[in-house]
Amino acid sequence: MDANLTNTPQPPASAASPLHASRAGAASPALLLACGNSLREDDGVGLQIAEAVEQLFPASRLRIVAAQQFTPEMAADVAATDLAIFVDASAGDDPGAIRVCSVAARPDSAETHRMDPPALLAMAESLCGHTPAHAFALTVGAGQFGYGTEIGGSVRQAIPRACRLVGNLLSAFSRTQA
Amino acid sequence: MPRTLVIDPVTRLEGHGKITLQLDESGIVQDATFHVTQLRGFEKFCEGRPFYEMPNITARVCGICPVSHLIASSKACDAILAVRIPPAAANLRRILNLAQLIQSHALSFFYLSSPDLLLGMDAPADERSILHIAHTHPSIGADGVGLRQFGQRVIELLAGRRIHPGWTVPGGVNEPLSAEKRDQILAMIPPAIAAIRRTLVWFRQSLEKFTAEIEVFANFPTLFMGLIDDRGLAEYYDGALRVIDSEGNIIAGELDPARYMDFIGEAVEPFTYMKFPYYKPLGYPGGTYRVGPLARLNLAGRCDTPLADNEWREFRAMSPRPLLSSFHYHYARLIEMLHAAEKIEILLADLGILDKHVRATASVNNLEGVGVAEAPRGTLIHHYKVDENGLIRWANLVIATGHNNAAMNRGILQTARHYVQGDNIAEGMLNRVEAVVRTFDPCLSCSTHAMGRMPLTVELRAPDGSLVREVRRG
Repeated sequence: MDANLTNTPQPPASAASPLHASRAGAASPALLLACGNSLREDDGVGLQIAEAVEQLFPASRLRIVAAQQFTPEMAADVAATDLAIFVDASAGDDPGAIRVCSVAARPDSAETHRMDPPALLAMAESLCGHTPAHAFALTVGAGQFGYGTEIGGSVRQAIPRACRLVGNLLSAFSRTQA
Repeated sequence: MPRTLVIDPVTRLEGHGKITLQLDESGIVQDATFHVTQLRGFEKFCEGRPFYEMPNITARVCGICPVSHLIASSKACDAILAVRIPPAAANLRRILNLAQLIQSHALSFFYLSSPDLLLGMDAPADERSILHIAHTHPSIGADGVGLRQFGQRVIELLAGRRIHPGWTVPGGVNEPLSAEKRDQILAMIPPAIAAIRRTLVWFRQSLEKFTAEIEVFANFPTLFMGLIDDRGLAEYYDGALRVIDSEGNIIAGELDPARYMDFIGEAVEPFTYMKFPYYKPLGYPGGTYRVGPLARLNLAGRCDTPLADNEWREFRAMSPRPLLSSFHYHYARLIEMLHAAEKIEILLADLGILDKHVRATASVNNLEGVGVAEAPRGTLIHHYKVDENGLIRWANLVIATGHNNAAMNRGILQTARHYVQGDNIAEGMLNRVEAVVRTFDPCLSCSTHAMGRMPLTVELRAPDGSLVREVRRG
């Protein structure tokens, strides 16, 4: 029987994994992972923040990945950085309210297609043997999730502030690297 | 008292599903039916749209297989234009289709089914996830996540984005491949091939643990249908349709896919709006067939790439006849992934792949077009009729999961009869009934429409409809 076919936790995957190969040689800037649905009104605010931030910071300093949802394939991206910023809309806060909190790995999600930041951090640790030293979730309160590409006024007004907060996180991170 | 068991929804599928098991007075399963959310409406709301919008519209049928729909739709549009697309464009579409096959098969095998294969069918439900596999079997988890990432990355490099790319268009593709991107893809192939080969090793070794499941997971004679090339080898983008019987006899060698209505009929059953396609000359249910990885490897002469051919020979050596158990869909998926990775490398090695001429242009020259390709789950057919201005008058999409519908229902009945007995509803029993559906990797998002994560409910009902017992999880 192959050693893999046991229930004993094993060491992280070897460097021969295609998961690592696709990022081989890449530099390790900070990472901003944004998710949302641009066709469901305020749910797209994370994607709009990603677009705005992309204009403000060079790719060598901040790598941006924007998608409809967080998926297991992003584990390699997460494992390749020491600062990860997860950006998403929040249905539980007032529209436009911004919340920034640190995130830690938590491997208790049973999802197969989508993941939350703690589960993604746990997957990065399991598969790649590394998690970012600093990980934050930046959420913007959202009020409308109907069909449409328009974002509500108070949510839209929060985007510049969210960008400044991303800049603050980047600056603080740079100081730790100096 | 006769009762009904309902598994609702079925988990770890692409979409929502529900299984109803009818028990007799002694608790023996008498009948089984598989239900899905049954209305999409794509064919209807596409009416009146310009035909050239169809690839992008129909790609929205599914977030897993947008590429398959893009390709079948683009081919249907090529037929309306009456053009032969440039060779480089055809090969770029082939690469895209094969990358799609790899990422989809990786999702099915590793994300959805590997928990059953590695932890066992009786493992606790909250452990049967890719996240748990990443913790208990990180090497295997990394291979699975990495292979899905590989397929998606190839799609992204070719088409600009991983999901719903718009690169494939009527007449070809809208941008040639650069040497830089080609080299990036080529560099990713050796680790991908190594990961697939590692997976084949452990999967083969684990097969003996699933002898009982192999015996009853949709293990019965049916026909098999899929595309072949002009040498009778496995084909995913073009070619003719072949139909074989359960003894391996070719009963239709080179059917023209564009004439699918001549040989594919659609039966209806009273419990569902989902159709039951069958091979017309044998009627229904005698003409029930299966499509997808198992069908393709059963009916093709071989794969046509060296490593995959070796694996194919070993696979086929397990039986002198076609392999009939749907459990072997898992095995076939791995071999197809190996073939796809090898084939992408071969296609990229041809300097013609960088040709700048990648799109033929024309206006409407045919008022009808059919596009057929092999999607990960099986043969996918798009059929459009347009007016002289190119506006869609009628559309028909025949989806792989639909082809497999009859065999899937029968497989559920076979598995349930073996594992389900009266009031003793154990988690492992439920999981096995779901797992037989999972072997087909049905994309209910494609064949119908659904999204999201699904809990599971089993209901026992008396003949008068009253609830006798309910088991719920998730």
